[in-house]
Amino acid sequence: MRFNRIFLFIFAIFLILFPLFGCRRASAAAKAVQYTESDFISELTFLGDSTTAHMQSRAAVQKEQVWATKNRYLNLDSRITYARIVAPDTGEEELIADVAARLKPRYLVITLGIDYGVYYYRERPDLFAHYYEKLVCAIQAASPETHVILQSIFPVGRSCTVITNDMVERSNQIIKELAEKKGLPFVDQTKVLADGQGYLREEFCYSEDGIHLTDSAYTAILSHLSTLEHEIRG
Amino acid sequence: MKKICFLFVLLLAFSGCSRETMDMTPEKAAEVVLTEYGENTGFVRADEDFLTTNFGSRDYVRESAVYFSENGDGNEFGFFRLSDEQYSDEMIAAVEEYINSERQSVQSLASLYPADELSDRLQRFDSATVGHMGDLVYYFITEPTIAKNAVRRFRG
Repeated sequence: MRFNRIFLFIFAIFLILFPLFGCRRASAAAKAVQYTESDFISELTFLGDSTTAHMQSRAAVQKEQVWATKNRYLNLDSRITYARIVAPDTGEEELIADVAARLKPRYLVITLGIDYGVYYYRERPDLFAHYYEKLVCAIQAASPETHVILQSIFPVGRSCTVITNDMVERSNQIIKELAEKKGLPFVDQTKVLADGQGYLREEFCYSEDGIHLTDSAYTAILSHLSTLEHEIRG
Repeated sequence: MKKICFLFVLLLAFSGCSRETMDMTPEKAAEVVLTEYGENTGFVRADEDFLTTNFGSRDYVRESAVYFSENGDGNEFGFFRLSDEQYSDEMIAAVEEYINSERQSVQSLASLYPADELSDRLQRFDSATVGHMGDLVYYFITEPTIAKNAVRRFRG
C-alpha cells in the first residue's frame, strides 16, 4: 500500500515535470529561431532578384522587409536603375531609388546577379561591376542615411545547367571589390550554403533549376547575418 | 530658261527636305512616337550611361533619345542624330548589334527559367525595325504596326 503511494507520488511528480521538460525543449527551439525576431534582423530590408523575392514566403521576415519586382526578376543590366519594384507601403510599382528615398530603410541588403547578370556578363566583368555600382550609387543618392550591405550571390546546385559556381565566384569577387571600394559591408553566404564541392547543399535546393532556395536555406542566411550584427553596426 | 527654273525648283525642294530632317531632332521624333503609343503607356527616357554602355561612345552622334516601356513588356525605341549621314550604316550596325545582344539576354533568361513565358518579348526582337532618315537613325523594338505608323508619322 505504502509502495503504491510512493509510486503514485513519483508518477504524479513525473506527470508534472514532463511538460516542463517539453516546454524547455520548445523554448530551446524557439531560441534557435530567435534571430528572426531580433531587432537587428527586423531592421534589415532585402532587395534583390528572385532569390530575394522568395523570402516573402519562405523566410522568417515581414513581407514589407523584402523589396522585389512584380514578376520576381531583377536583372542586373543597363536598365537596373529603371527597374520597378513593388513598393511595400503603396503596393505600386516604383523605381528602386524612389522607394528608397521615401522609405529610407536603415539597412538594405542587396543580393543581385543570379538573374542572368552572372551568366550574361561572364565575359564582361567590367559591365557587371558597372551596373552593380550604378544601382548602389542611385540608392545612396536617394537615401544617404541607408546603410547598404552587399551580400554574395548564392551558390547554385548540381542541377543548374546554365550557371556554374565558377561564374558565381567570379561575380562575388567583383561584388566584394565593389564593397571594399565603397566602404560597404560584404556578407559572404557561400560557406553557409555550399557543400564540400561548392554546390548549393541538397537540403537548400528548392527546385530543379538549382537556383532557388528552401525555407531552411533562408533560416541559415538570416542566422549568419545575425552573427554579423556587431560588425555591420560598427 | 525652263531648265534653269526646273533646277531651281528642284534645288528648293531638296533644301526643304534637308531642313525638315535637320528640324527633326531625336526628342521631337520620340514625342511623335510616344503619341502613337497613347497616354496610357508609360515610357522612361534612358540616361547617358545607358546610351554609352549599349551603343558605345561615338563622336558622330550629336543627339540621341532612347525610350523604353516602364512596365517591362520590352517595348523600346530610339533615335540618333548623326553629324553626317555617311555614318548611318555604322550606327545602324551598332543598333543591330545592341538588339541582338538584348535578344540574347532575354534568351538566356528563358534558359534559366524555362517555365516562364518570354516568347512575346523574343518576338518583338525578331520584328525590330532599324532604319534611317537622312542623318537620323531610328530603331523600334515593338509590334510592327506601331513601328510602321510611327515611322510614317515622323517622316511626315
